Amino acid sequence: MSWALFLGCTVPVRNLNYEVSVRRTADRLGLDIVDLPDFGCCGFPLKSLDVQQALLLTARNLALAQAAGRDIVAVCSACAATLAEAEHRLAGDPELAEKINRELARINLSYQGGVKVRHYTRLLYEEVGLERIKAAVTRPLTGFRFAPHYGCHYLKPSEIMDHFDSPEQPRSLAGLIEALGAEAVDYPGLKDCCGGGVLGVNEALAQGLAFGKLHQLSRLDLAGLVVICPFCNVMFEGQQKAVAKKYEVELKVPLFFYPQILGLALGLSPDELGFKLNRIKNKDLLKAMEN
Amino acid sequence: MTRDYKNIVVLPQNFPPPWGLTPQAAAESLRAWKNVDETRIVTRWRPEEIGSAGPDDRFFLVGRAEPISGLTGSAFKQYPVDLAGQMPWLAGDPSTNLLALIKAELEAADLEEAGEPLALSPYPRVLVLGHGPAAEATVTCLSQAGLGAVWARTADGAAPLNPPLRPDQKADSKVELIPCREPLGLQGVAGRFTVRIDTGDSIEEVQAGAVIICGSEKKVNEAPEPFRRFPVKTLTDFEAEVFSRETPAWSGQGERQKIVFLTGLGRSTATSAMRRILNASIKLAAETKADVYVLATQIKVAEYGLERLYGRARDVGVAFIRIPETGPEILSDPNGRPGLKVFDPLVQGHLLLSPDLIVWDESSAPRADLARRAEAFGLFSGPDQGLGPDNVLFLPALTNRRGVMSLGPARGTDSGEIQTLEIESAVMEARHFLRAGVEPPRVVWWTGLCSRCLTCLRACPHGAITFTDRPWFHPQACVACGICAAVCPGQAVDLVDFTDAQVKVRLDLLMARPQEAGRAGPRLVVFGCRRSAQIAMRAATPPEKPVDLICAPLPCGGRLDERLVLEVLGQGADGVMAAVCHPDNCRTQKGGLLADRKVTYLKTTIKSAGFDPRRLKFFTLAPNMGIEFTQAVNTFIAELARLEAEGA
Amino acid sequence: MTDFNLNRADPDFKRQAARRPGAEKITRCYACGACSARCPVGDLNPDFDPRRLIRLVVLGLKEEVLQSPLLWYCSTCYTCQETCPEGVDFTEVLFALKNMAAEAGFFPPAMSAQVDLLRKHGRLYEVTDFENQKRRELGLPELIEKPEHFQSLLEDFQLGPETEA
Repeated sequence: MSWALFLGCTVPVRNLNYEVSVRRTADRLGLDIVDLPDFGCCGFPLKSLDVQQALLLTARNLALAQAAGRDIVAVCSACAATLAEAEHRLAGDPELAEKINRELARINLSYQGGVKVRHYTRLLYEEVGLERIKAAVTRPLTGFRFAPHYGCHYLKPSEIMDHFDSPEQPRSLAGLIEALGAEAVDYPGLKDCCGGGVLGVNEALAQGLAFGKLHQLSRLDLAGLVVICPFCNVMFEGQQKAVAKKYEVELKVPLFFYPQILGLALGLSPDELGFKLNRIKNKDLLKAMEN
Repeated sequence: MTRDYKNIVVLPQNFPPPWGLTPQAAAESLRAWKNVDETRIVTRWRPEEIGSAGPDDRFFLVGRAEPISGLTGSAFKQYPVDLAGQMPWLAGDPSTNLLALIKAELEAADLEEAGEPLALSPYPRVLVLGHGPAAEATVTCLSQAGLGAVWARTADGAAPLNPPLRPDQKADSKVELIPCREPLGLQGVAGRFTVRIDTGDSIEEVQAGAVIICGSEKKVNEAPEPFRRFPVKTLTDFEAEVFSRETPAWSGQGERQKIVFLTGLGRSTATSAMRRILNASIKLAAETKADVYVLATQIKVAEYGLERLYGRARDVGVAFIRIPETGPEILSDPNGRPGLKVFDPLVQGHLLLSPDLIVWDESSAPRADLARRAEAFGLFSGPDQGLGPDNVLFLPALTNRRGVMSLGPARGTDSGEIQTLEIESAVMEARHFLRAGVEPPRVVWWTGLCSRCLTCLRACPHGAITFTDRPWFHPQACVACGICAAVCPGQAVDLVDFTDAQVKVRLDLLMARPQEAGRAGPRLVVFGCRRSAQIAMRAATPPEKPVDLICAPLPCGGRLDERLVLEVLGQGADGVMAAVCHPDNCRTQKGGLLADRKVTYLKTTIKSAGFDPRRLKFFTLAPNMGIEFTQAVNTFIAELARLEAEGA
Repeated sequence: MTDFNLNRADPDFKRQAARRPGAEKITRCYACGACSARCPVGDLNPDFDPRRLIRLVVLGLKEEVLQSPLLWYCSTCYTCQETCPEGVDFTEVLFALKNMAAEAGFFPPAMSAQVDLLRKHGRLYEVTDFENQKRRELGLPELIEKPEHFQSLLEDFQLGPETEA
């Protein structure tokens, strides 16, 4: 399976720790992933203004991947969902696909359908698989408890995601955490939305959504929250101080991107995985990694 | 005592029981009381001594009081299975009441056996009232079942909705036809009904073992007065226009028309009417430029294909608006044009609409004639004004009056498939009351205490009591709810297995118990209906605070006895709760209401006796409401604590 | 208590919405309320009620809907869509309604800022030497922008006249 890495807009500028850990772990696991420099915005932000226009921008990326003969692996959940949805819609509507191609012709591109789109986490779960990951672990994270945060666009809409994991009782990320020898913690707000989708429009609302989850997590005995999307990172890490202040509580929930802890278990060092850029440190974890 | 027993076996549980009077001593005392040598009183189970149990043996299990659970299965495990049904559980404590309890049980058993053999139904035929396809189908079904039928054909002049079924069935010799201008009244009890009928020429008295009321369609053609301000058509007329080939005036040449279907105002919309409305509105919305609204009290889709039709109607753009039973408000806009106003809870606001045409569903017009008939026949009526209570326990064709069934137009149904089920059920039920046989009595009546006041007869919701020179309780029609026993001012009536004596003795025992650790807290007596409270209590979670909960089961909420309530209050209960079925669930339709009324009345009574009326509570629940039961108990405990603090 | 005058409503509104891709099934809704029950935004802001929004559309109250700021509060968590027993795809319905609102000139200012960024940079975040320097330090490849593609594709795209959103 050959993949093109789709970084989106946020990760390569704001979450370099996520990007670096994705690359290093992909490398360590022997995945064939290349960069397509021409990749640009997936189109998601435009959807609220014009669904068709957004689809056009998404199709552009699909066309680029097709031209390179590769499938797409995305690291941002919104990008993954937008690209998958576009592929799904174009596959089901030849008239629409034709219309889109007429527009893409302006920039000498064309999309004929068939590009697979996967979130990096889903790729690890399905293509690599828990057994291979377990086998590749050299430094199990035994004794550490992580709370998984699936987010909203990794599993939904479930039809577009081929129902690969249940939106009501998800297991993939928990399984991936357990494959590292760590414990995955279940908690009542497991499926709650981070609120990232409304941050630009209504900050108070977004913070309200993030608060519920952070508050719950701050009262659990955890090494940290594991996320797989930059939006969720912005809400839970970036906004953590603001939320704590607004609701007058103390919050100290460390955040990790899954590939970061995956990398640790595979034997990579925290520096290689961008841990310096994580804003809320977990000293115990870092200390344990010094051995 | 009229009976002799071979063995009266008293089996104590929980050895050694803390009896003030040992079972052995109780046995001695019983023997003396009975004064018959052949009766053996055995206090320990020894199979070789007892031999196999027979009808002349009576067994009693004696053990500790278990306020919430009934007979526990484990107690029976050691004994042969066929005995289990015969063993009442006597809750005991160190006291002498064990003897009284056993005596009460033996007396009750005697009453049960003193039944009259009853030859039921000297009138082996069913009276069918009605006109039209439902009545015809019922008569056909009866004669196919080999039952005699008298068909009193009302002739209201309505056209049948479906073609008649068997043209040759009128020649059937088992069916007697009489004309019926108006049925005047229904007297008697199941198996022995007398119906007075005005044939038009004379007044006839028809005797039948069972009665099936089919009714007939009544054609109403005028919309109710307030809506005549609008351009209005009946659904039938409008349907004809919609489905005809000609193009009516409102079909979309020119300005868009607002067409409003109105249904469910007088009685709830029949499913067949719903089907007609959905079909017409779909055709309108899909094929013309009209804007279509359906204003209904309910969207009834409980029939084959209606759910899909409803979906299709939504897809083509029909808007459904819910109206209260009183209908939409009618007002005039500034130009004097009449309009409708309805509160829509989904948008939390009022909707204003000026229809160009109102299509009025005439089948949901009120049926005052049915309401009159219900009253004349002593039948409860539902919101569709059909002759059947709005209670799922009475489906498909039962009424509160045993032996009287209603179906079809009399019930408010007019659709083929459901009507067939109704007819089959009604005929099966009728057959039950036509057969001869012996039934044990369910009610015991003491002539010396009865003043023939007829209160029991009036109170019985099932029409199971008739009067000759004495009130007569029909064993088959009686459902043993106990309402008659509860209302009798002379205490002349009791249920055979639920006499006052039995209940009182049990309650006395429980009340006399000293409170132990774990049962500290207020002493609460719950009079709970067997069908709801008793079941909910078994599923109830433990209350938050300690409470001594004593339960007295009732066969129906209506059996709640003021005397017992006063009794337990007098014996030191801190609070009394009556827990009965929700009004719409009550099996007798009336029981819960009677209990409610009694509690209200009691609150005044006990106030004058120096008790705080807040010590009495009335609560309705369903069998699955274990959690709510506990919540009610928790609240009551808190209220009682406040009362104590106030010094009330 | 507000009055909604259906005589001035646009009964075609629901059909217009249903013509938009993704919103075809809007009329399936029978107001069961499962969406509103689970909506996380609705928990914090009871005015945000998916069932109520659909009802307003079905009743044709176009102005009321398109001018409402509530349209933009959806966090696109898709919970309503997953829960709906009739397959209404409410999140997609909202995208369609937001599109219609934007065409009529009702949208939050943050949105138009995003369009400008896309036209200028083909990305939501500008990539300058500063960003690429930080990337180099971590051994990450350079990022480029390809604004010409986006200018071309977005050539005909126009936001409605901006009004109070």
